[in-house]
Amino acid sequence: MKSNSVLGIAALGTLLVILTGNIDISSSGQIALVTVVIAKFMLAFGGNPFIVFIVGLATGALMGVVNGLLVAKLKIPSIIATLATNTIINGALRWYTNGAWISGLPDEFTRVGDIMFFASSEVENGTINGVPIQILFMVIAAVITFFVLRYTMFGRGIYALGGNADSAQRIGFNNDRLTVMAFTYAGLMYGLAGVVYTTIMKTVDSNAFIGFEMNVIGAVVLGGVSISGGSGSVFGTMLGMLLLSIIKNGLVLTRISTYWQSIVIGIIILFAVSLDIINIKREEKRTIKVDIVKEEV
Amino acid sequence: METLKSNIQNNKQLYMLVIIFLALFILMSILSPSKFLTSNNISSMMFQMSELGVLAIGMSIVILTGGINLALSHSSMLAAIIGTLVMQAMVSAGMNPLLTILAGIIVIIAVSLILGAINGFFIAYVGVLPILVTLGTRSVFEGIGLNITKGSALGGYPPEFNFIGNGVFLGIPFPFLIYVAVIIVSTLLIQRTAWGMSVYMIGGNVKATELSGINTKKVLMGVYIICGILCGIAGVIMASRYSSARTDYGSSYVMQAVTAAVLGGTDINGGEGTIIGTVIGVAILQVISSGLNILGVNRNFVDIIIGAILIAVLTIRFFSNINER
Repeated sequence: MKSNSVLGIAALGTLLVILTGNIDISSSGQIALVTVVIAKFMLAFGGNPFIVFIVGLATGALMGVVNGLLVAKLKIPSIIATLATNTIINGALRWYTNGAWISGLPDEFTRVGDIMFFASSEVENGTINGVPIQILFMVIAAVITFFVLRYTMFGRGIYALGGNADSAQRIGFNNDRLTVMAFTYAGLMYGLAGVVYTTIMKTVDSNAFIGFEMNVIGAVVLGGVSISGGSGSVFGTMLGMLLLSIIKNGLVLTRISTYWQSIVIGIIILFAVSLDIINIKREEKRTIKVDIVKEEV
Repeated sequence: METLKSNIQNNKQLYMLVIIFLALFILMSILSPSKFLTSNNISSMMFQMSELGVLAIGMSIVILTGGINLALSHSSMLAAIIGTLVMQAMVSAGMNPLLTILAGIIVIIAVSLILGAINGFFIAYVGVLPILVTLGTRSVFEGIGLNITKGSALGGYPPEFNFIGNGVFLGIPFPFLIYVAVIIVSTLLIQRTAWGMSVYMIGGNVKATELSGINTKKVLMGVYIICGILCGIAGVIMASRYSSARTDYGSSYVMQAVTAAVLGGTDINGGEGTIIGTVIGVAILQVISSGLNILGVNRNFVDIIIGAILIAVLTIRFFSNINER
């Protein structure tokens, strides 16, 4: 459950980008970059958790700004822009770390990862029951994202931009700025995801996230987001993340070979999106009928 | 003279690509004449280019319709794995090696065609976005492949099978000949037939294409089936080259194929691009990675450069479009 918070937080970031009608396939590279940056930072300057958090978030946000500028100002299609940045980041990381793990992070920081809230004092089966700090981070991120999307001009702008870019422009939204901000927010979330991941693992492996972006997009899509933008919610994304993690967990518990995981997840994605489309088509047919009836009257 | 001028005007992007390719080729030759410009290196580049090239052509046909196929390499490998099982069974039954190889190739391409048709069904007839469908099928194909191989590599082909991926015919690497055949056939298909025209039209505007009397669903289905066949061909080459099949072979080719197609002038939103552009894109990627490799540049640094080139080319295109307006 703890490790799924990384997926959840990253999915919140990708959610915002997808809502604007763009896509971000650089989440894996960005998270990996953040983990390496904060690990090196801690080894050099010590592990004050607050400073590490700020460094992590700033690194993510910076990458987000770069992606956003490429997409908004240079009009590079988001899938290509983030593909390119992801390639560059992953290449740079492997070049820099040579694929080696970074360990020996300061205690000051790794201790944060073991904090539990509402922990019961008794120890059951060797594990302490409670809410790990990572889950708390995910919940806070989800609540903030929820409020940003629902109650701020930025959030409403994102829905407007994803729904119809031209009308958003005419209402007076600065589409370019909204796009950059959405990617920056995504970067912030990847930064948080990277820090949270490091608190769990306590070592950093720059190759740990290869292919992770597909899981993130899968969680967002399962949560009912329209990939062409404009509709989708934080709640749905969280449910998508939960569904993915329950499937994984359930398969492990029922001792079904892990090789089945990707089959089951793939089939569920296919079914979820197909049902979505079939429902939309059905609804469209219904509305057309209503129109005809009105005309006759 | 007039026609030449308009020809250059129309294919400006293509000529720019050729110039970039030649410039890179000459640059690498100058930087490392004793290693880059040897028949040994050129032929090893031809070997490597063929797998990516066949996949990239499949990808660019899909991108022409405004789609994308993330399941590219996993379809190749799932088909190759099933083909391997068939060949293993036939080898242990002591059947004629040539017959075994033929059966293996047919099975690989047939399975891959079916996998393409599955993608096509969801995209054309259910109407789900290609990126979502192929995200799902990629996961499914990978899972089935893993279930069969348990994560290891399957081999055990008749020795003659190695020729397809490693053989040399008339001084030219055999997979490269397959690649050239694929280039010719797909160029004719896409750029010289009515069907190919409708592929471009779908990429431009699906609704308008449908209203002009073209069965867009059928065309889309055909596009993904063709992409499936190309995946199968690439699967045969890869299985033969590595004399084994494994789910994660070629998984980096998916993004490289997109890169090559976009580098070659294919519009990611569909409707624009040529097969020959993609072929040059693949060649550019190959010259960069082989050349830098010979110069002793770290393999990972090559990725950085390829990413940077992709962004640079698109940026140049953006500014040249502004100037034209």
